[in-house]
Amino acid sequence: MVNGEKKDIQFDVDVVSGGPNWVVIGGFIGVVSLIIIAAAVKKKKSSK
Amino acid sequence: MSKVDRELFDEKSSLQEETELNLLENKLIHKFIRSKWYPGIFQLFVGIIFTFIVFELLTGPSEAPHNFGTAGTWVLWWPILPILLFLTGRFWCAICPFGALSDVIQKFVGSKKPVPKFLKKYGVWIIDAMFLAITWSDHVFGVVESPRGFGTLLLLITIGVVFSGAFWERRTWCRYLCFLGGLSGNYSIKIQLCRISLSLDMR
Repeated sequence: MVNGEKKDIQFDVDVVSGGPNWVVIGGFIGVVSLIIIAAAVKKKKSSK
Repeated sequence: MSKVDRELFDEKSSLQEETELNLLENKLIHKFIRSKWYPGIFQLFVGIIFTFIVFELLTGPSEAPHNFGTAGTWVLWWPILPILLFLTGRFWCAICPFGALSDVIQKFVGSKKPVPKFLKKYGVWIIDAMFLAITWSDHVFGVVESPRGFGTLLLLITIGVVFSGAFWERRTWCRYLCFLGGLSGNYSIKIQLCRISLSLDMR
């Protein structure tokens, strides 16, 4: 309300999504999987 | 050690034994500690909570006051930790989810190579550098107050834990890279109320 008159204002705003960051989650799963696979292969080779 | 020092040491040890209460003399506690449930049951409980906290941090509300991961860590766990260290010494290390994860990884795919010399020599400096890096990133990016940022930080630490568990022996992360290990060591050296130690008949 301005001077007793109702005023409307419009903003054009892009709101950033608050959802999960799938790049981070996917990257983590990928790196951990690589480490575990590499370790498993190394363990198998050394046990032969 | 001189004769006088030895006598003083023996007297101190004797006094310590007289004033200490050995919880293992309690049959129930002794049975529980020797059972397969210890420390697994505590690790499982803490692991479930930790997994939920990480899940909430990465997928829950992006505002810190509304995110259980942020609240659970900084409002609940962080203040309780020094009290826990004071009361129970390094008991937290026995039930820490990172330590448990390292053990599991090591059990299934671990190479158990000896700890590298650079870790033995520079481990404490690496811990200091990591602590500074976290503090810097918090000031610059607000990592700790941001659920997504903090969740990413925990994932990075988890990658380090998985790597050390997969390639190096025992709990290399805990012993040489974990800043909480250093913190708990400082708290528990002199002032712990409860000391966990290994006796020959428990091996």
